[in-house]
Amino acid sequence: MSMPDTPPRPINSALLIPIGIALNLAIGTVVHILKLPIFLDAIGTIIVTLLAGVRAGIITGVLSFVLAGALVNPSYPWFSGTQVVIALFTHTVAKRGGYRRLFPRIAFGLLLGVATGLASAPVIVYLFGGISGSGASLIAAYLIATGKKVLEAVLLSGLAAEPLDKMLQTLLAYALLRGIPADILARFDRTLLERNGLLK
Amino acid sequence: MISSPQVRLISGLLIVSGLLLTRQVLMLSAACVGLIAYLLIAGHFATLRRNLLAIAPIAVILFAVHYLSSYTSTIQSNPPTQTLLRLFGIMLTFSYMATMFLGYDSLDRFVQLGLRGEHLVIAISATSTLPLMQTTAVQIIDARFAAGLVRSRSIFSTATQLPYILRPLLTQALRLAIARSDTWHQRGMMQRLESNLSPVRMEHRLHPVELVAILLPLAWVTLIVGREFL
Repeated sequence: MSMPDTPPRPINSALLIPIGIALNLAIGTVVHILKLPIFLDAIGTIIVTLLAGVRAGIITGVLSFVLAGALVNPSYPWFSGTQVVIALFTHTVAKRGGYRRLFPRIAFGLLLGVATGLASAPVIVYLFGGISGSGASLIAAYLIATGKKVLEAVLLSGLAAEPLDKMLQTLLAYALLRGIPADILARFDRTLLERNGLLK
Repeated sequence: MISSPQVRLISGLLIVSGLLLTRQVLMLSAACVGLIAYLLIAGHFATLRRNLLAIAPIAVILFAVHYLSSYTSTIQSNPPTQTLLRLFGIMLTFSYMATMFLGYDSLDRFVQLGLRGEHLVIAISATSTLPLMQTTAVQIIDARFAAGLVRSRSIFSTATQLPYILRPLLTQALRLAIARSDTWHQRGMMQRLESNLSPVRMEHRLHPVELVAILLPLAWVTLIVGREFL
């Protein structure tokens, strides 16, 4: 007698969020230590948003930065708002099928960088006086030293580093998700995955 | 140690208000000394070390910027004071952030914060998944090193292994999460967690240390308001 063919039970998002947090922290910390002019600290947020929706994505982003503040560097929690922007942007674009093809994915990755650059700038200017200690701060420092105003320098350095960084993160997140075996993807919301271009 | 989340929040809000109101190096440095003293007395040396390591590159860059801009700028200003003001401000925000989240890594503390059910699981898992994934990442690097695919164990060499580590790391973590999700569902873990959670004894009376933690920032903000506006 064969067992009835029941669909697999969806994974509890409470168990997916910590994975996203760990990904954000692990990759982001290595990049921060190496002082590279990129961040790579939102791959977990993008992955969780695409797999489990915007609410899980926002929780992942905010919690990972709060935790990073306690474990890695106290400057992280002040940029929690940027993580909210990343989750909201990723969700909005994915909902309209913007990530299904490679070129729109690159374009929206660059656009995400512009959005996060604008979201981070007020925190860097008003809280850190223009220098937050990341690799991009070196660009801002150079611009300030050459006579640019702090806000202008931070915006320019953000717009120089963030689009490339976010495009890389979006592409990396997709490459990672595409490499996940089908039996694991089957445990997530099929409609969401099809809409996000992860299942055909 | 200050255990009440409400006390931490109130003193934190007072510190942030003072930080936004003052333009005086003396007031900011006094608050910094106070917070650093608290971290030292409470024995949080690792947190203090992390804060100093985080602020050191910022300090170097800020002083370098002001040193260089003093040659290019024609505006008469006081760069060292401005830089010190910024540095003490950053140090204060870092120390405040550190004290806000100190010790929030156990079940009791999370329950005390009011987390229940799914949110409690997320908070506990968030603090426990990272070491687990770090161990797996080390195992993957070890395996690649043994296979002769990694030349050395330097940080740069490890960083180049990132793309090869991430995919198996994510797949393994997702498999583990699925296995956990199934086990939890079968054993009704969420319901058990809700029903068997021992109530945490809530202290309604303010501890003397907590009273000081509110009164000191309050006095500091009052002094700032007095000096800046009256």
